[in-house]
Amino acid sequence: MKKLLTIIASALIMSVITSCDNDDDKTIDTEKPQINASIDGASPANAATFYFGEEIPVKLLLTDNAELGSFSVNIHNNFDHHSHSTEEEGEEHHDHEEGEEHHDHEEGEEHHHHDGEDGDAFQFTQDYTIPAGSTQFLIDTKISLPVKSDDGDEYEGGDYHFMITVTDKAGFSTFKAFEIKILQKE
Amino acid sequence: MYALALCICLCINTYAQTDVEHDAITIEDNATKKKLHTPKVVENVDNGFIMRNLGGSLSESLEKIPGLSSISIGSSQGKPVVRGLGFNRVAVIQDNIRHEAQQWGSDHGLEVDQYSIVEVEVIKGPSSLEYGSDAVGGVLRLNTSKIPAKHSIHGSVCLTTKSSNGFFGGSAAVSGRREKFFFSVRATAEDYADYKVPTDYVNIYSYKVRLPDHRLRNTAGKEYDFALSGGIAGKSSKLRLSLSNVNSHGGLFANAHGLEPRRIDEKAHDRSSRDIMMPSYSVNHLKAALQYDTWNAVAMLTVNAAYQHNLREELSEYVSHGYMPLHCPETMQNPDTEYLYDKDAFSLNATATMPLQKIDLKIGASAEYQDNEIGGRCFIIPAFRSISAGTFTSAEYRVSGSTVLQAGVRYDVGNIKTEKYQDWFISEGEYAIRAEDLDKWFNDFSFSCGASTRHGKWNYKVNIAKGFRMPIAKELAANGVNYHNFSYEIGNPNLKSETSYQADCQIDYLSRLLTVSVSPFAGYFANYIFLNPTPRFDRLYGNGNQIYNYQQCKVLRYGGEAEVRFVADNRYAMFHNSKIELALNGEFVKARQLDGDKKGYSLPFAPPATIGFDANYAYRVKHGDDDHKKFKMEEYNAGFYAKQASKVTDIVPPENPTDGYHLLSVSIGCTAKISNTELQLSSKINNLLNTVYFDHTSYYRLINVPGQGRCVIISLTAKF
Repeated sequence: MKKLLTIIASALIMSVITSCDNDDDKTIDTEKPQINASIDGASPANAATFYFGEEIPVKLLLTDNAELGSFSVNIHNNFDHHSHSTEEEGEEHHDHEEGEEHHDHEEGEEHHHHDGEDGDAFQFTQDYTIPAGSTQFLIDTKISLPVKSDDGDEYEGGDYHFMITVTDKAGFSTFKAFEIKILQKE
Repeated sequence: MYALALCICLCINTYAQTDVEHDAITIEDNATKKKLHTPKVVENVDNGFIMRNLGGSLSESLEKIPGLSSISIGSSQGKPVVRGLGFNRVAVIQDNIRHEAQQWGSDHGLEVDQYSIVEVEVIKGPSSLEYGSDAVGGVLRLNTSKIPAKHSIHGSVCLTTKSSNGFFGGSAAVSGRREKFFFSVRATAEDYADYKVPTDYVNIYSYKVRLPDHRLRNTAGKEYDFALSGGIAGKSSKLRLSLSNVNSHGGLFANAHGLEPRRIDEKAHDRSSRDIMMPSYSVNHLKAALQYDTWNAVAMLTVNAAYQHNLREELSEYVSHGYMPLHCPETMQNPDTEYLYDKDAFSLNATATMPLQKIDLKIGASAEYQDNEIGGRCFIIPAFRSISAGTFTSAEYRVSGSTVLQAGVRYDVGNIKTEKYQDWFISEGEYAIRAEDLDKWFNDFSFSCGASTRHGKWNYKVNIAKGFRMPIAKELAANGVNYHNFSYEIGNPNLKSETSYQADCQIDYLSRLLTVSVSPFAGYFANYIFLNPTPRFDRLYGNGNQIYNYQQCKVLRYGGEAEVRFVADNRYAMFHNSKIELALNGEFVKARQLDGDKKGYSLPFAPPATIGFDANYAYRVKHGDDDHKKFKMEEYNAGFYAKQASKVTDIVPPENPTDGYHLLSVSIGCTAKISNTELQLSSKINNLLNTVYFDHTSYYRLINVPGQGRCVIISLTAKF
């Protein structure tokens, strides 16, 4: 009995050890995708100003070591100034105890109002596809900024956050945030 | 034989205090015998172990047990993980009844009063044979009931304070017995502040969150528990009725909860570290149970019945997610209630054990019914009702005095019905339907077989088992954004029962000075249910969040634990008054998904490989027989513990690789006697060097919150 058990036990240990050995036969992707905002003509830039009735040009380079997934853009107001740590140093004096409103993407259509205390804050959420197999993708698009909301109220000008989120095929995601101004033309 | 078992038992329970029960030593002895005897790989610890290693939650207090780790959430909640499997893959059985709490979130702790626990048994591996669904990865058996000796009355008071979260807690209990009637009462209260981390700020996704005073904003909480039990212990039967309630209320780290934080008043949050503001949770777990045992020369019958009510509420200020109205409708009742889960669970089980000449035969059956209502303004899982029943037979065959064979089979059947749910607000012109009526049946066979044998100083055991887990409502029918993770989770109604196979063995070498134990295992999941992060986003239902969907995949797991323990005590002349104990243990677990979208990846919350070194010294003060002083010092002790955790690179999206770290802790304590009252003072410093480290299995790892900083824990226990 003892022998039998010893044999079973050592067989088990051996199988564990051998399975440890051929452990790394497949490489997995553990790297997150990247958002490159230092390319020529990159937009938006931090502290850039845009106007309702015009467009925000978006030019950013997305890269991933394996394969990109898709990306989404969200614009929301920053009237009370919260900070994103991916922003440049020096912006941090705006620090505010706020976390994740970029996840609270408002309605699905392209343009929607959001309430400010005394006006309508502009809000935008949209997701975009990236051709399969890409390890690089240059975003080169424009987001138009309507003057008025669906209710006919003028959007309130001020500080806004421009958030971009990119995923890779493995399901990792990376965010980048820009502080911009969107103003009504006088 | 007895001496040997006693020696092992002393090794395992270093400073085993004479517990409320005077026959404690015999119980531990039996536990150790049982541990070596059962073919399954098990670990047993007692209340003394929990008190010596007191953590914020029960699972943290048990973390030193080889093969056990904890997924911790903040300073006071945690879930047990057995060999890398946690959540619904570990069944928690309290006094023979499965603990039934909410299943939807990964951020709930166990609603168990850790002071009340007398013994813990951890079964490492599938144990569905005896415990049914969920015991697919392992079982945590908690025993809170110990019947006192005849004509005795005992009491205990324990007070604890911790520096890192300004914790004050205490528990008091009284138990007693006349000839047959016995009773016990316990009350526990805890109050703690926002806990400290050794950092000024944390990066939560792309946001930089400042932490003035190093405190994790709004993680204060309180807990009030009580338990009452009584019964009759006769010559051939025992009846115990018990009623317990665990109530806790705590804040959730304000910056980590997915509410619209624009209107959070930072100043108000930071004004006091002890207040609990929104977002917060409150949970109340009520349990009423009946345990009946009866025995005669032929058989022993055990019947357990229980009712549990779990009410969990998550509160946060109204935030318009997606298509929700911008302002809270005035007609909405309880607008601060984000989620509400109200569960009633009824459990019944019976086991008959028949000792025949060489075979112990066991037959058992169990049934359970759950009704889970939902409420609140946000939706993630539908209301559901589930019913399940199972029956098993197992036999233990004593080949010889020291060799045992064990085998058993079980069959279970279960049904879950989830309720249709429609949004209360309009999305793109209609009330979106998030869950349809669903009616699913599951049935499973499970088995276990193994052997153990003792040969002189060596003990061997081997076991092979199959366990299963029926999918839960969340996995079948979730459809909403989990704002704890910012994931839009979509259930999969086509999921099959999860089945797991595991082979393991354990070799023990037991000598007077040294014990060595090695227990490797290998396991296989035919269809592990995995929440898979996809590269896609969803706008209409998911408010622009990343889609996570439930999939099933084959998973191979392997790993093991090893321990070397050296004990020198009064059996040696040079240690006539003292005891030295040194223990070195290590554990690791690896998992691989063998197919599906994440082929080649590990499983979420993979614990790091760890090596722990534990050194303890105790000096016992000798008193002469004629020493009738009122106050007597009994023992001084000191301890040192070092833990090295490996780097975790074996991650699965969206996790981050985590660096390795080492932690040190030291403890000193003493025990004394005043008349018949035994006093125990212990103090401990955890994370002695105030190391900044990340715990890969912390719930807050994803948002880069480091583990707790240096923490001084002082506790005083009095027992009579």
